[in-house]
Parts: sequence; C-alpha cells; structure tokens
Amino acid sequence: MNTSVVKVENLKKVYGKRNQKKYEALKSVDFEMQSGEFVGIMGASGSGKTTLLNMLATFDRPTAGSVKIAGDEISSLKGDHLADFRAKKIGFVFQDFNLIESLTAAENISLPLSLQSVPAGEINTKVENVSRILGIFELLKKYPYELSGGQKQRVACARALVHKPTILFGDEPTGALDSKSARELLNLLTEINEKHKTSILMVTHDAFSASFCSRILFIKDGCINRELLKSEKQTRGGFYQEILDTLGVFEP
Amino acid sequence: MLRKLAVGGLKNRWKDYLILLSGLIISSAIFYLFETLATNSRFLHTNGKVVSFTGYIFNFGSILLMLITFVYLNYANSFLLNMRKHDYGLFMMLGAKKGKIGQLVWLETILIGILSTIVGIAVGILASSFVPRLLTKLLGITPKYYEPLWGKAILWTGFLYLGLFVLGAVFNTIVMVRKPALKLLKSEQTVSKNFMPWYLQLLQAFVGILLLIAGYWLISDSTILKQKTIPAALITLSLGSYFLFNASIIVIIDFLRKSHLAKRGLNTFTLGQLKYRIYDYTRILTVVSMLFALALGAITTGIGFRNSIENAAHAQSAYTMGIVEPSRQQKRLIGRLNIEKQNTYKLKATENAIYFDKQQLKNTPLQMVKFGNSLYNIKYVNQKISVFEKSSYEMMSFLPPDYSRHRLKIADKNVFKGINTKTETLFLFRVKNITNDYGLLQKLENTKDKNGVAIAEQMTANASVNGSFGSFKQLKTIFGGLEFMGIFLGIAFLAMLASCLMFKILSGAFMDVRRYQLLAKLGVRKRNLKWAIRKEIGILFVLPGALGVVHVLFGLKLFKVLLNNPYHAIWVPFTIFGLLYFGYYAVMVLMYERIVIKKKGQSD
Repeated sequence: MNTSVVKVENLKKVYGKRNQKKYEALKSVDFEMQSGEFVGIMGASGSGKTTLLNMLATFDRPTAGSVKIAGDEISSLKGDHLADFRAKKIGFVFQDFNLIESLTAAENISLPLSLQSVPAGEINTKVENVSRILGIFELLKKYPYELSGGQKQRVACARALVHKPTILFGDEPTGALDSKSARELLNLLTEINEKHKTSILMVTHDAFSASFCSRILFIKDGCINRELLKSEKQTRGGFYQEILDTLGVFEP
Repeated sequence: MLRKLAVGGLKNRWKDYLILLSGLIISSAIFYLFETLATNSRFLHTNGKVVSFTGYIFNFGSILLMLITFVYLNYANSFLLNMRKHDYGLFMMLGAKKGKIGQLVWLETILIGILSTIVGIAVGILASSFVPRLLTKLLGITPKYYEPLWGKAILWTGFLYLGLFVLGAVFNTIVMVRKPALKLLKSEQTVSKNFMPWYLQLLQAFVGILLLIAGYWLISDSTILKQKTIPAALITLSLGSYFLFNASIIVIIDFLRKSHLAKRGLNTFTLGQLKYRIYDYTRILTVVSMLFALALGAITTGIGFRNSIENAAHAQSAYTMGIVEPSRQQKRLIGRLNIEKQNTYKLKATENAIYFDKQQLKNTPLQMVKFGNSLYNIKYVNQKISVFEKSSYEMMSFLPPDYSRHRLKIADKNVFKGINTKTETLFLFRVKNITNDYGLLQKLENTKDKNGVAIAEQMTANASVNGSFGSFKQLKTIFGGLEFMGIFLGIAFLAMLASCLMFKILSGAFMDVRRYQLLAKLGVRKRNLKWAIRKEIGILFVLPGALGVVHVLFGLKLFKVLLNNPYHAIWVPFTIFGLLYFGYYAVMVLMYERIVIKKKGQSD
C-alpha cells in the first residue's frame, strides 16, 4: 500500500490582517505522507508546528500553497463540504481532550456517527468495538468528570477513530498526561497504526512521544528542516536516542 | 496597579457587562412601570371602581414582582460573580490583600447597581409615557389620571433596587474574600454534577402533581378560600411546577437519550446539554411559567373586558339608537349599517304628552330586554302594550330633550288621528354588532335630524343615554381602564419573563462557546449547529410556556364573576401573546448564535 494520504506543497501561512504587521508562521512547507505511516512533527514553541497541523486538519486556511488529503484539495473546501470532510475523513485528538462534559463517554464517542446519520444499532456496535480496542468498554456510561486524564484521552481517541477516518491527527495528545498514561496511550496508538493500518500524524515537542513514530519531521522557523526515519532494525530506545541527538544539534 | 487591573478586566468583558446591565435596566424599568400603576391610587380608584379588588390585585402584584425581582437579581449577581471569579482569583495569586479585593468587589457591585437603577428608572419613565400612547392608538383607550413621571414609583424602585444591590454586594464580598484563591481561579473547571436517586425523583413528581391539582382545585372554586385564593394558588402552583420540572424532565430526558431518536444528528448533544443544565434551570423555568401565566392571564382578561363591552351594552336596551325625524343624511348613514331589527312609529306631541298609535304598537310591537340568569344572558321580547305607559324611561331616552317633561300616552286609532299637531316619526333600530359599526354610529350621532338637533347634543341635555350605543360608550370608558391595566400588566410580566430567561440562557452561552467550536471541529455543519441551538432554546421556551398555558386556562375561572365568558375568543390574546413570545425566542436564538458560532469572516 503506497498511496499518499497527505501531500503538502509550498504551504505558506502569514498572520496579521492588511495594514498590520505581518508574521510569517510558515514560509514554505513541502512533504508527503503515505497511507499507514505514523508521522511525528517536532519543533520548539513558535516553530510553526501547530499552525501546520491546524491547516492539515482544516481548522485554518493557508495563505498560499496546496494541501491534499486522500487526493482532495482541502484548502478550497468551504461551508458544508468542509464540515462533511471533517466528519468523514478526519479524526482529531486534542491536548486537553475536548470531551463534551454533558455527555457520557459512549455519547461522546458516538457523536461523529450520529452526525452522519448512521443507524442506531450500527452506532452501538461500532462504539463497542472501538472502545474494546482502546480498553475503555467499562467506562462507557461514565461522564468525563468521573474519568482520569488518561481515560479521558482514550475516550477522545475512540471518538476520533470510531468513524474510521482516513487520517488521525494528534495535537500533543500526551501533553496533559502523566508518564504512565502517556506511555499507555502511545502504545495504543502504535497498535492502532500497526494492526488497523490507521495513518497517524502527531505534533509533539517531547522526544519520548516522538520515538513511537516511524518518521519524524523537524520544523524550525516555518520550514521543514530535517527528517528522521526509523529503520527496520532500530528499537524504540535506539530511535529515542537518535531523536535526542538530533534535537541537540537541531536546537542549540 | 490593582485598580488598573480591575478596570482592564472591565474593559475586556464589556460585552458581558452590557448583557448584565441591559438585563438589570430592563428589570428596573419594568418595576418602575408597574409601580406607576400600583402606587397611583387615584388612577386605580377611577379606573377600577367597578372592581372592588383592583387595589388588592395591584398590591399583591407589587409584592409578587418584588419577589421575582429578588430572584432575578440573584441570577444577575451570580452572573457577575462567575464572570469575575477568575480575575479576582488571579489578583489574589499576584498577592492582592483580601481587604483590597473585598473593597473592589463591593465597589463594582454597588456601581453597577446604581448605574442600572438610574438608567432603568429613566427608561421606565420614557416607556411609561410611550405605552399609554401606544395603547390609546391601538385600542382607543385613554387611561385617566395616568402619570408617567410618578414620584412614588421612583422612590420605590430606587429603594428596592439599591437595597437589594447592597445585599448583593455584601454577599459577593463575603464569597470572594472567604474562598481560597486557587478555588476562584479554577471555578470554571469544576463540573461535577450529582444526580438525584430515583425514589427522590418519584417523590418529587408525586408532590408536584399533587400541588398542581390542589392549586387548580382552589382556583376552580373560589368560594373555598375566597380572598386568599390567589396567593394560595400562586404558592401551590409555583411549588408544584418546581417539583414537576425538577423530577419529570430528567426522567424524560433520560428516556429520550436511550431511544433511537437520540442517535440522530445532534440530538444526543442537545439532550445532554439540557440534562446538564436542568437543575440550574428548574427554578427559572418555574418563575417563567408563573410569569407566563400572569402575563397571558392579564392580557386575556384585559381583552376579555373589551369583549364584554359589546354584550353588556346589548343588555342595556333593545335598540341601538332612536331618532326622531331622521334627516336624509341620517337615513343614508342608516342604510350602511348592518341592522338586525328596525321599527318606525308615528307620534304626536301636545303640550304635556306624547301620543303613540295603539294600532301601530299592536301591529309592530316594541321590543324590550328580558334578562336570563345573568347580565349577559338576555333575550329580546315583544313588550305588552299595557306596560308601555308604565315603563316609559327607555322610550323617553330616545326622544329629544324638549319632550323630557312630557308623559307617554297611548291613543286609539281615531283619537290619535284627531290630535291636532304635526305627526313625527320615531325610527328605532338595532345593529347586529356595535363594535363593527362604531364609526358609522358615531357619525350618525353627530348628524343633525330634520329639526336640526343631533343626538349627541340631545344626550348632554338629557343626561341620559340614547339606546345601547350610548351605554356602549359609557361602558367603554369603564372597562377600558380595566383593559388598559390588564394589557399593561401583561406586557410588564412578559418583558420581565423574557429578560429573566434571556439572562439565564445567555449567561450559559459563554460556557458553550468551547463546546460549539469543538462540534465544528468534529465536522458538524453550521446549519446543524444552528438547529441544535434552536432546539435547545426552543425547549427551554416551550416547557414553561406549556405549563403557563395550563395555569391560565384554569386561572381564568377566577374571572367568571366579572366577565361574560372568560374563555370567549380566547385565541385572540393567545395568538398575540404567542407571537410576542415567539419574537423573544427568535431574538434569543440570534443573540445566542452570535455568541456561540463564529462568523463567516473568521477561519473555521
């Protein structure tokens, strides 16, 4: 399987309205991501990594350039098409979970499906399946305030995956978690990536999290500066060391 | 520095403050409006003398409005407190002394109170000079002795509002100073909700229904508690509504959530939102349902009085008007009326008597009003000739003032012929509906007859009224005052209701911004987001509305003593009220959408 899931060409983002001081968050970004990859984007604060992610996830519009997801040019999508695209093709995991407090875990997870008018029976089975994969089946009836951080993020993952999106985006998904929960979540993501062939693109500034990826893009001052590929033989520990070494050179 | 921070916070949240201030201004303006009526004893006395308990109703309404204001200010205050908690927590983190914080909180609350009370009274004065004019224009009622600028009302409004704000300020200061800084900082993030066990819910539902039944039973037979019926009904119905809302809505929502319906579109989300909020909302829904009932009830009875004028007037005389020697101009006007019954009689006047032809009276008998068991249950029957001379009063009212000292006499055909004066004709008619022909009748009254006298002049000279049209005009001034009060009260209650509900819903809107943004990120179409908002707010409007309608339908029974049929043409006030209520709903939805959904220009 070597189809392209994400293709970014010459992407540029400038903040600041007309007659205001401009700030160039992304200068020119090009990269491609194949189906089934687990890609990490690393960079210091202010490097432009979140801007890039927001544009990939259609939350923000590029100033210039093209973003294709599964072959669709998304920078031209508007209104209902944009909403439908998000609902069908994209899954997103936020740093602060963003669960809806007034809904139970099960209801949170089923939201993307009911938006697509999936029949109720089918929703139930799908929610059950995805929650078993993520090990939260027992928690389905609970409200977010009854869950721990790690549990909340797993519910959020389930919500991002239940409609089988083309790609799963993560914005520092482990950022708000303790180290044990973070490791559990990353293991789960790896498992989902390997077993279920889900393409994952994740932004992080943490080398440990990044070491779970198969490829890492380093972004600095609005450009992709370097790329690291995990080789077949390499262990996660080894890859982690390599990332740390790279960061040492990359961010003096 | 701290002052700078406080002012800065104020500047940043000016929109929230605008909502708070406008809500408070509306509330104090309404209270002022109400007090211009309630404390104006001359107005009440003049316009309400037919109804002995008008004063009582207004005193009672005054107390009720004070209680509602208390609840309302409570909401406004918690809105302010929630808005500022985070900022003050931050100040404390930065090392501000508790005493200083207390001072700031106190100052802020009092300043807002003074500002809103003064502006509110000004708006109230403006509105109260505008409302009567509007009513006069729309309904043709001119309330007597109504003063827009009323000292007592200013005093009362200022007194109540400032007093309550002082209380609020004390409360806020205590809360802010007592709570640890960290708790204030993170107050927005605590979301735990404990739901009640099922048996308590069941008990509540049971008690609620019981209280509602008791309330309706008291209303349906006002002889049970007499004067105390209204307060007793208000207490039982309020508590009943509260318990019912508290218990049943959660159960219904839970039931709906488990159904397949919930899995369609954003229904789950809407239901979740509702359940999450309903505890906060039960109190306000109760208040709103009571206000709804009071507003709708006041407007319905107000309009009911209007409808009663027609029937009451018809009971005063068998004929709408009588004209001696109608002129050609008058005949032309008469031709345009929708006449149900008309008679023409010849009469001859001598120096001290007026003669009617017996034969003619036999052939076309004069009609009279026959009362059934009430003022409104009447029939028109033919009058016997034998009573004609005895009950001359009604006939005399149709005749010109020159004849006021004459006696009525019936003469046999030949005797009548023999009287040697000129024969005049008396034209009597009854229209089907006075209200419909009001304009024409008014013109007719001012038109001169063949002798050059108009009925309008005749009436002032006679000091009596000519036919049922005269009574109609008299009743209009009496009932008009009551109608004015009813509609005025209705509008006041409706405005109060709307601002209460608005406040509550909008203060939740800020918490919702994040949720709706998240939904947009999950791929919900903008149209669907708007639908979800409409549904959620719609339900919050419909629930108290429905209960309010039931309250009114029962409550109207109280007015059986006063009105012909309180339920007559009930759809008119209901439709008017429904439209106004819907208008409020539409405005509410727009405001909410504006807060919650991003505009087009912004990136999604």
